[in-house]
Parts: sequence; C-alpha cells; structure tokens
Amino acid sequence: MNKPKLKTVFFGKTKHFVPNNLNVWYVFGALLLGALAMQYLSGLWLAFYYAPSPDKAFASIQYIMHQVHYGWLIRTIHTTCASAIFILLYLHLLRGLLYRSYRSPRQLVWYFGVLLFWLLMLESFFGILLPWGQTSYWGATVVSNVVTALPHGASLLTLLRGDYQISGVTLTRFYALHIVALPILLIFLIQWHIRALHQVGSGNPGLSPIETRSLDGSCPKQCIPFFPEQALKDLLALIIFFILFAAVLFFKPDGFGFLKDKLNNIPANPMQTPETIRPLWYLASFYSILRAIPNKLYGVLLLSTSVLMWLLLPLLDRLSKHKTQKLHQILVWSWFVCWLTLTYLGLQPITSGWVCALGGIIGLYFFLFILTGLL
Amino acid sequence: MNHSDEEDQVDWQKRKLLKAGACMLGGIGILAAMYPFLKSLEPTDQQLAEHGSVTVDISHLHENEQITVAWQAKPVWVMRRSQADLHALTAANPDLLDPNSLQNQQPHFAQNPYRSLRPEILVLVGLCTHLGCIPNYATLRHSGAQFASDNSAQQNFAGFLCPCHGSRYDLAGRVFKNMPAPLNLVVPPYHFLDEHTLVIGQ
Repeated sequence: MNKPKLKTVFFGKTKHFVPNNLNVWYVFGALLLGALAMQYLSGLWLAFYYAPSPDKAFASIQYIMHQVHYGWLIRTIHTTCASAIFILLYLHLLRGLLYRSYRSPRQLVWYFGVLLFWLLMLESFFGILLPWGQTSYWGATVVSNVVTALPHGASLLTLLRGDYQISGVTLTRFYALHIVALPILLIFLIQWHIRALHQVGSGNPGLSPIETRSLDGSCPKQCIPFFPEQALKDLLALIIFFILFAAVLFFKPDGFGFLKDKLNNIPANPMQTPETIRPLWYLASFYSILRAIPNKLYGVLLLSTSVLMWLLLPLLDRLSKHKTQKLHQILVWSWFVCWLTLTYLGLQPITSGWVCALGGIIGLYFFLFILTGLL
Repeated sequence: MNHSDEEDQVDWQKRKLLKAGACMLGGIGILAAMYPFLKSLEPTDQQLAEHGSVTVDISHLHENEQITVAWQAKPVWVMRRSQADLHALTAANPDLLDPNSLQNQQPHFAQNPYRSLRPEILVLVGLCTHLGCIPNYATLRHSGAQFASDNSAQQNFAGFLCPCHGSRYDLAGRVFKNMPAPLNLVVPPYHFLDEHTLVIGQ
C-alpha cells in the first residue's frame, strides 16, 4: 500500500492545468483567497483585545486603536480589508457574468460561489455590530428587523436577537457567529468551491470549451500548468493588490467615509436614531431596493429576489440558444451601470424626488440581469 | 479462508430494516437534541422580568412637549397635545392607512381617534413599524406623489417622520398610506395613578 505523501495531502493527487488564454479577469479568485487570509489573521489579532459586552465593546476598540502596539494598524487592516474583499468579490462576480462562468458544466462551482457571496454578506453584517457605535447599533436594528416581514416575524426577531431589543445578548451572539460559526463555514465552502472547480477545470475568455484535465499528467492542448505559470501571475496580481491596499490603508484609512463611518465614533444609543443612517457601500444597492418599495412585505421580497437571482443564471443560460458574446457583454456592462446607480442612490439620504426614477432603475436592473442570462 | 456459502450470504432484508431503524431513531434523536439548543436562543425569564413597569411624572409636561422614557429597553414617548392637534385628529383623513386603529397595535382603551386614554396625553412606543428606527417629531407637508389623494394639499401639520426609510405618522401614531411601514405605532399598556402620575407597562 502507498503511504500518503505530504504533497498530495496538501495539493491533491493530480496536477492542475489551466487554459493558456486566461486574462487578468481570472486573478480575482486568488486575490480573494489572499484578502480572506489577511482578514482572518487581523480578525484573530483583534479578538485578543476586543471585549464583546455593551459596557466594554466601544472602549475596547478605543483601547486597540490607541494603546495596543500597532493596534490601529491591525484594526484598520480589518476594516479596510472588508471593503477590499467586496471589491474583489464584485469583480470576481463580474468576470463570472462576462465569461459565463455559470454555464454547464460549472453550475456547482457557481452555486458554491453564490453561497459564499451570501455568507460573506452575513459575516460582514455580524461584524458591523461589534464596535457598538451608532452605525453599528442602528444598522443591526434595521437589517435584523427585515425578518419581521415573515410570518411569526416578531418571535423570529426575538430568537435572532436573544432579547426584545438589540442588547448585550445580541452582541455576544453576533460575536460568536462572526468569529466561529461563519469563518468555519466559509473555510469549508471555499474548499468545496475550489474542489468543484478542479473537477471540471477553469473556463476561459474564448468560451470554446478547453479540456484541462490530463489523464497521464502531461499538459493538455491549449493549456499551461497551473504551477508555476498561473500561480506566478496570481502572485504578481497579489503584490499589486497589496500595494494598492497599503496606499488606502496608510493614506486614506477611512476611504472618504466609505470604509469607516464617522457616526460610529459615537457610542450606541438605543434611545436615539441618527439623523442620517447610511449603509456600507457594498450593501447599498440592496438597501436602495429595500426602501424603494412603499410596502414592507414587497420591499423585503424584492430584496430577497435580488439576493437569490444569482442562482438563476445556470438555468437561464440553458433556456435560450441564441448567444452573441458582444451583445452579452454590452448587457453585462449596462447591468453594472444600473448596479452602480443603485449603490450611489442607496448612500443618499431619503428625498422623495428620486423615488419614481428609482423604481425604473430597479426594473431595468432585474430586466437586464435576466436578459444577460438569456443572451 | 474457508467460508461456506451461507456465511457469505448478505441478508439484505435485515440490513434494510437496520438502516431504516437507525435513520428513524437517529432522526428523532437529532430533533429532540435540537430543542434545548433552539430554546436557549430565546430570552431568559429574568430578561422578561426586568421588563416591568415605569412610572412617569407628567406634572411638568407642557403643551406640545414630548419626553422619551425607556421601557423594556424601548423608547416610549409621552406627549401633551394641544386642542388644535386633537381637533385635527378627529377629522377624517383619507391618507391614513388604518385611521380607526383596527389593527391590533394598541390596548382596547386606545382604540379611538386620539389612540390614548386621556385625549391630550399621547403615549407611544417610538419604534417605526417598518424596520425599527426611532421616528422624529417633524412638521410634515401634504404634497408630492405620496399624498396625491389629499385635497388640502400644501397644508403643514405636525407628526412623526422616520429618518431611516421615510415613513410618516400623524400625531396619534397612525401611519400614512404608501409608506414602507405597514402598521400604526404601538401604544403600550398604561394607566394613570393620579392626575400627574403615569404608569407604563401595566
């Protein structure tokens, strides 16, 4: 019997090959791995000093920022990297749309990816409460209240919060979910996402199927070995990413208010909602959709649709046979412009002026998305 | 190795029974084990007990003045409304979603146009029924698409405006039509001990 080798335990038995025409859009998966690793490490270091109780949470963040050696660096890495992950995630998703990464036989890779997208949003939602500032408190209040649109909503909300309002119980609960439950789930799903990818091999921007699996270990046609060819390309991208990341980290740590909200420098006050409450930029498009509909149930349903719609792409792709790559890419970019507009509007205060226009943009947003899947 | 044919024979019938039995018992076990874990997520009895009643002295509450007290960790507003405000509340308003307080958002005694025990004293849980932000006292204006059915357009009146998603309520906490919020604001249970003492929570 063969003894297990360390190398095959880590990297599997087969050598991986990738199509030789992969462009720069194909590096974001690797960058996400790097960013998630950075988030994991900085998060672990924050957990050494953070105290998850309503009396101490806010003060412990101040302690990390001002007393702990390089605490300001570790915390700013964590807050900046959260946004960086979503930038990379949206680019990774955009690559998926542009080059139809959801197409058969890669549906399973796609479904795992969508699940990861949801879990990362949830992970960021739980994390936002932890600094216990005004944005933290009221953001968590509003988002957790979304479940009250469901049947038995009030009991569900109490079950989620563990109290009748957001309280210390909620804080420790969210902390446990943020640092234990979701990271473990994420690690498993990332593994499965990559393993499912390795079973079918990468797609490519040329869209003609390239067989990347090798039976005898020799390099298949139109392919290059993943290591070191693509791995070095990913490494170069990672270095460039880290340079850009460091530039934001050291020169604009609050990212013009997009990465860190000034309002969160005020401790949570359950008796006062801030005058203007702004979602994080990467959740702002969802926020726009939620508040555009003057009806709670329909607003929440439409919000759920915008989250669930990603699952439809493999099915939509099979429905129609008429595909033109050029038209498809124009549709993807138009959809992206809609997404950007929704994100921008989600960050603006409520004024009744653009409510009608918002309805149109949301309609266009869903319409273009379905058309993108079909054409 | 010397196996007789009979020893090699697998009794599939028996294995099927074993599998079904194991799955069923295991399933029941998992369901039973889930109960304490789910139950532990609920608030404790102590948390419930802490949510008793609050006594408020309203002798210093002037007309048009609003104070906020904490009850069950929620903000509760106590406000003395003016005669003009009360008069406006009794007028039929087609823009209200539930003008007669038919939805179960108040104790029985508050199912009247003022949604209160004493007409002038308003007691409300100040949490928007949409997603739980605290609305602010505001002068609202009847105008724009949201108040299309209003015939006294451009008339200013007082009410509450939620800063998060823009839901509007009148001075009795009744929500307007075509707002994200689906229900009127909650009136908590309360009573008066005497002329100037209000007890919220009983």
